[in-house]
Amino acid sequence: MPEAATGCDQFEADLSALLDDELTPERAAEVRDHSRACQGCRERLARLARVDAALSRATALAVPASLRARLEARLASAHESDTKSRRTPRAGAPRPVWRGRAAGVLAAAAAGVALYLAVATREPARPEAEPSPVQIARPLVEPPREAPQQVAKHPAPARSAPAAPPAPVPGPAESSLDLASVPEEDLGLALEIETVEDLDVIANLELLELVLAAEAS
Amino acid sequence: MNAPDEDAALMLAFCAGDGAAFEALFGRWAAPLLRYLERMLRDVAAAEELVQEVFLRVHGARQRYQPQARFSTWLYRIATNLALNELRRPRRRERHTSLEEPGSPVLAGEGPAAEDVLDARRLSARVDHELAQLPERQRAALCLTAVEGLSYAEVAAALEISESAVKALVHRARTSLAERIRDVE
Repeated sequence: MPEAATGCDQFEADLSALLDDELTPERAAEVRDHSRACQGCRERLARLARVDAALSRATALAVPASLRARLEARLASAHESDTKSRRTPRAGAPRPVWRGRAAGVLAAAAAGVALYLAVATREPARPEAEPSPVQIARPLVEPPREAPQQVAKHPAPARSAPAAPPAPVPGPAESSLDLASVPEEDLGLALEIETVEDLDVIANLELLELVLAAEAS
Repeated sequence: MNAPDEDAALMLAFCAGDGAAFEALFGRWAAPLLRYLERMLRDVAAAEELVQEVFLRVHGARQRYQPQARFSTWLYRIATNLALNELRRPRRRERHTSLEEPGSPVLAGEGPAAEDVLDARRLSARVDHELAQLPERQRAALCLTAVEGLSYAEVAAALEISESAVKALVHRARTSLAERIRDVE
């Protein structure tokens, strides 16, 4: 698009905003008045509006029935995995996939660790500014168990990059952690893990393994 | 945000154990998400996969969800991040199975002349092609505003950038597209 004439510069950037109804009424009136009087801006505005018209012409995509079925299958699979891995399954029929809370807390965490590690070895590191899939699944507001300044929008880098392994625990290869010495809050985080998305609340895989071992014993 | 929107209310109902509310959210949002993601990826199959991913994450967030922003903003934020990650995958293949390819039902004709339909279809296909050439965030910002109808504030929240940045992205995207399709009658 050609450069706007000198007198039009002040309106150029607001032409799009006018189409998006993002200007104050006063400013919108100014831009409209100018566009009526200025052929160049009027044509420019028409060209921009043509883009929107073309974009909106595409048919709304129909959601195939198979998509819903695949989602249900994945949810069912996740639920089944949770149920199978559970050490002390509850009596009664399994709950419907679309209903209720997922059953296996630690089992899901174990599956999540495997997936996490698989993903971490497969995917290249993302730029720091790019939120990880784990982060984006986090709720807009975290429960009070987490430090508010570290959630959602600006998580700590160590917890944000799925390509980077969790911080290693200093010491020998054998576990150097004693569950009794782990702060109650950290244990609470481990025990609250339910989905893959929750993995970023635990940077210490060793702690997770210990919790799993303790649960199994 | 002053009060939960209708979708947020559904999500809260789902959080409280109402599975039908999740189904309702899927029914309301699967199609718009599919449209948006297909535009971002130009790949219907990949877009469908990501729609599943979005709802898996919504499902997974049921124990922690709190409606501090519009539900749609949160949903598009998830979708946008998934799409950007997908676009940056090094081995991502350009399958181009967009519905804008010949033979696909681009226009649901309401009776305009066949020539007009063809012109419109040609223009729409060209715009989609050119849209794919834009930088990812310009593409996302323009689709979210011009197609999905989000406000600049909502797009800013979805893309985690400022409103002024959204305004600039949208303007650049629209101006660039306008120039690129100028030769299409």
